[in-house]
Amino acid sequence: MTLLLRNPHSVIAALDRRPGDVLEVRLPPGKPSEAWRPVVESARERQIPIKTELALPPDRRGGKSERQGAACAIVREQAGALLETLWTAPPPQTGDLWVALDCLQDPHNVGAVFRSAAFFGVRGVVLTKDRSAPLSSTVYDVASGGVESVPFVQTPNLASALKAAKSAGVWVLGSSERAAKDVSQIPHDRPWLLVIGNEEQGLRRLSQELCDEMCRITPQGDVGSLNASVAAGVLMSALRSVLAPGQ
Amino acid sequence: MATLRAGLWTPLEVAVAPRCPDDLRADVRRLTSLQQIPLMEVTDSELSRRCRAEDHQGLAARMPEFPYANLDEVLSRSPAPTAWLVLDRIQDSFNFGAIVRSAVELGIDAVLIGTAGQAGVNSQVVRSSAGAVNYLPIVRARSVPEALQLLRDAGVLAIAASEKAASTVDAVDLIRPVALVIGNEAEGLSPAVLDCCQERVRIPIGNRVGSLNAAVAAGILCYELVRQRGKWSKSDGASLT
Repeated sequence: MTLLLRNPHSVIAALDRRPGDVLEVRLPPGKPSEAWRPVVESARERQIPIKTELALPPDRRGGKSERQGAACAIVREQAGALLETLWTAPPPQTGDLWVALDCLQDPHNVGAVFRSAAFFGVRGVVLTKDRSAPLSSTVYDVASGGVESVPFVQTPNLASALKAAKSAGVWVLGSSERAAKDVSQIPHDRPWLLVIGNEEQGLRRLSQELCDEMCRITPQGDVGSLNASVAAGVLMSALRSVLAPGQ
Repeated sequence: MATLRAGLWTPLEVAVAPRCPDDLRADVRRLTSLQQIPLMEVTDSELSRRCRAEDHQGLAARMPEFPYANLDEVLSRSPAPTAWLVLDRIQDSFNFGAIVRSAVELGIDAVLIGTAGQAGVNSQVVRSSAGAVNYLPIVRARSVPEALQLLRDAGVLAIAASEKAASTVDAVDLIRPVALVIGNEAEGLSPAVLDCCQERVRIPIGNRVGSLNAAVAAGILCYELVRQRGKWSKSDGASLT
């Protein structure tokens, strides 16, 4: 399967990490914009085809076809990692952090989680396959390169992935508005796998039962919860600053 | 629904369709009659046409322009707001809504936005804020630098969020009255806004690749404010040992 990426940052990340998977760069006629210039330079260097004749079908010309003429790149999907290697290479250490997404459905949220995961040096992301946003072009673009730098696994069975993490020595931390502890009270003397639940329903019962600890971001206001990707980012930040102090 | 409940931003009219669940419909009837808002019964497809979306939940409201708060009025409130979130040209409605939701949940007293290049409060913002736009004052200023100057004159410390800052946010005192200033998704803060800020901070990180989404960055900064002000321990005192 191929993706159609429109964010130059996500294209640059693919060019840096796996140039062989970038099949083609398409640009509107004329000088490339400032944001796309590094893409063009990198693609040229690697002899990746650059097409500038984005001629539109005659019936669409002059209509609402601007989108079609916008710069983009055709990129092969990134292959997932192997579940076992996610925890074991290298072995888990205090300060390490993984993230699991339990049926996240909004591609913007999944993309933003990948972007934050890359930023905070998360070792891997586990995603559910069913009733979850697929890793679409939108996810790659919103992640702004994050999907390229964080190993990920898509699994049909999150429960067995959580069990595998536990037997590899990783502790599982669930997040829920109803948890008793604030994230700042979570012990930081161990490696954690942080599990983020669905936008509406939160964690599934079985996922929650496998958690060693549950934490929340203590709400101050009347809405009761944060956007899922914001919550994931706040939790990653809070865990990273206690897990890896002084960096 | 949160908008009707909050009673701050009054709809011009409300329409319900068969798809609307009964308990919600009863609430809508009560609130619209209480607030003297015209209520119409329409079909599901009529509602789809009106709100140009198939995936509605059987309830829609036609809204007047959002009632932005007045800066002088908010500044003169008692107690005075001590935590401001200032947005410099946040363009994406999803981001703006998510930021307002975080602001309400994470201890912000008031939000200030500009006009040029900034998403206003529209129906998408209301949705992605989960109704949070109703729970705190949102001030819209013609010029963000001028408004920041007024905040500074009122004793508020203006703190810019910038990836290039030398100090991390946890090294700056957020207990005193502060305004956290967040910039545009692609360009960050404009030079004029940056010039008005007295401090610059970045988010501390372990292993840096790339940057954060604007709404995520705003959420992390607000959480740090809550952490420093120790608010979570107040509502959670019983479980502290």
